[in-house]
Amino acid sequence: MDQNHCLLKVEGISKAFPGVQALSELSLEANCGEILALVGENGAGKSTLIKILSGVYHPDCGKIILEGKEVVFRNPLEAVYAGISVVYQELSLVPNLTVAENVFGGRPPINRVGLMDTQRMNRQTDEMLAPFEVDFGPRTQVGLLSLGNQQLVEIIKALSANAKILILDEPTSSLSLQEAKVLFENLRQLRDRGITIIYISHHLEEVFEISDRVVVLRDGHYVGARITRDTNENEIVSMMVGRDLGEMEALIGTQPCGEEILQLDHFSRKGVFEDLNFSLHKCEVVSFFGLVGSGRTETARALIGLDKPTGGKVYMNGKPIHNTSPRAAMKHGMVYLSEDRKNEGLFLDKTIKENFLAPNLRKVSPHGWLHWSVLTGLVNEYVRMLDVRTPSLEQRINNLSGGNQQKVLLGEWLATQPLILIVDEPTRGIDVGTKQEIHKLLRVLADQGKGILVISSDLPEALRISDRIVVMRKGRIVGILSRQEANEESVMELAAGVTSQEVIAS
Amino acid sequence: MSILQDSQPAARSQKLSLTNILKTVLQQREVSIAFSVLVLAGLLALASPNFLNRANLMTLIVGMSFDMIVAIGMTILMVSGGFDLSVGSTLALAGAVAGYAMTKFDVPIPLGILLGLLTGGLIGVVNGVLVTKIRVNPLIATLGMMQVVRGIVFLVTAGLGIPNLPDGFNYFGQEKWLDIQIPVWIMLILVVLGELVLRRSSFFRQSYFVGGNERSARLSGINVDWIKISNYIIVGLMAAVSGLLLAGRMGSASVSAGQGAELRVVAAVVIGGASLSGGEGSILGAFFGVMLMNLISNGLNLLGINVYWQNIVIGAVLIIAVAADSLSRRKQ
Repeated sequence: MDQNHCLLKVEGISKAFPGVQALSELSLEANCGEILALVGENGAGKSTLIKILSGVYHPDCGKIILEGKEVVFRNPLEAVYAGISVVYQELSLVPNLTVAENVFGGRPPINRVGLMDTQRMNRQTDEMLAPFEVDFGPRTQVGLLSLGNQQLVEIIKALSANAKILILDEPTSSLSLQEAKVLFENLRQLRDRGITIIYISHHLEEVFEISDRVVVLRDGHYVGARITRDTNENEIVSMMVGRDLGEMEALIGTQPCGEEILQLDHFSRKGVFEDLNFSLHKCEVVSFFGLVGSGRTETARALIGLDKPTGGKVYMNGKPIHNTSPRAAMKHGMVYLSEDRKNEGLFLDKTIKENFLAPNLRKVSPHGWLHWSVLTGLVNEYVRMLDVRTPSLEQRINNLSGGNQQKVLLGEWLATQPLILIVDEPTRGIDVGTKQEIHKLLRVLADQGKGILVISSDLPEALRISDRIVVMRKGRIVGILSRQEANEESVMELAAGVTSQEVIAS
Repeated sequence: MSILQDSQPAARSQKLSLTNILKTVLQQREVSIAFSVLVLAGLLALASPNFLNRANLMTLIVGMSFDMIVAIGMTILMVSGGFDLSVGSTLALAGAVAGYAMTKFDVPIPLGILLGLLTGGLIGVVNGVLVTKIRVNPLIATLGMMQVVRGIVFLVTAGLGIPNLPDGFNYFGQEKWLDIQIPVWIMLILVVLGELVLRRSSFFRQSYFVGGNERSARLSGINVDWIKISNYIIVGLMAAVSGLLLAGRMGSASVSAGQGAELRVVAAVVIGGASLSGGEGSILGAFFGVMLMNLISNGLNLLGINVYWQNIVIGAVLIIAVAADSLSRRKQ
């Protein structure tokens, strides 16, 4: 690793969008053969910076210097030719083509007759795959690969374009722990081959595991850089938020647990989740924890009528209910906030006000006619309550940061005054500061008498906010732990089924 | 007040200044399209002395009312992300069914009109169910329907159309109230009503959400399929109203009535600000869009240009409107 050799230099880059200064006078350097982590809260300017480096956006001012020469990218292709490739959170592979076809994409090798030279393509892909330990070949159909392997294909695709700088945007967000480990191994190997990796992540543990250096951004400014082994999480977090956050202490309710509000009785959907028995009380926050495929989200979807349950009963306040659609669930005061807020929840092209309107149409339309002033009052109330940062209520959701988008979604549903709030991954992809605000908010709502069901894959989060944790594995509830019983080990053991496997083994 | 202790100053409402208001007004699609209409009318007035002639203007506005009535339904449908190519055929069939019932079976005129409307509504139901419940692509479903319905028109009228409609029926197509043709009155009433409900009624407002993001709309408690089906019914009904008025105006139900109307109407609605992907559009915008399309045809006529050019121009305008739509979207 040659720390002195600077490969990429960004000098005084600024970029403004309507109402937002996304980057101001930002400068940073990336060296040859290092893994540079880029961290910051949502809205800190990471995405904008990547898009400028990869030619998607043009900076308002400032320079990009690559290998000592100033470069200007008019489009993403020029950036790729210059050696900067980005692997985005959403993979861009074609599932029904083979690995090799995906890697070569629009520029496959040509044989003498002018046709695609499949053999050469497969051979070259095989060579590129060789350094990595993989159990698939160039002819495998991409759609059959695990997400981790698909991501590797995406990385190889980037490398096949002779990338000198590889930018990874939240690469582990859809990977299992095991897959993430493999990814890190592969990244280190690439670094040792002299490739510079810019790694963007919200997970500080990951950043500390994989990176050589950390650069912190805040509100579009460069805050500072640290050699990873010379710093610690607390220092980075305080650089990110610009203040001390204090300990992530447990959030305990001020109200005693009230009467039962929701009860599942042998609730089942064949092959997805089975025989769920559980009750939720007023003033209670309960988390559903489990690994991918444990059936948590599916349970929520069946509860609100998006999917059909095949057995069992659901009671609300002691009365049996049967939700056949989200509309029916809303009428009972049960609402669900999807983990995929962009596709299932928000209307990205529409304004904050219009987004509030969607679930509150009835509320702001006495006699079937919309009253804009009633709506404005409602939106103002919740935007203020949740402290949504926006220049105006007419701002399009697209222009808000992830954390503010999530606040708008929470706000519009709170405005419907639900009795039961089911929130799926409430803080996924959201910065530390907003995450804390949302945790407190959920607690406050419970203290007001609502029942809160949280689905979270973030165990520290679940432990912090929940009165009880329901652990699911393979579609079944394998344990319900009180706050006293729950800790990282006890929950993970149940979720991964470690103990029961040991029992079987012995 | 924020319920979170460590909160920052909350969002401020946008300042209301004169320049801001002016900017917002000028950014409205309706304003820019109305402006184009004015410019084109001005040019035509300069190019042809006959343009501002009262007779010409009346022909123009009566002519546009048939397309406009269909465009009201099409706007609502396109806002919810739907699409209907069968409107031209529906228009013809509604006239033919009403005419057939009134001339062959001597049914009373109100019943004839009702049957015509029912025909339109029924075609809407079929389209809606095909698109929502059976999930046929709207383009294909309504393209097929366009062909099927046109075929039925030929069958019902034995390929000849239905002449000699009763005078009482023709009244609505031919007479005037307050010196203005009845179809124009009906168009104006429906435009105002349509604009009002699409803006302000909570039922029609749902179409914007369905077109904007169907999955989010469903989770927001909107009955997506029902909204879509009812919008297909509305388009069918509007096409039927237009077809009945047109038959009355001609005094006969023609087999070729409404041919090409689907393209003119879709073009006008897109020019008026609707997006093919749904979620946007307004009836006022469509009104100016229809006006623009009709001004173009009228201008070509007045300037004595070969009528065959009209097809070329209408096709080109449709493509340009959609291209402009997709270009402006890319810029965002």
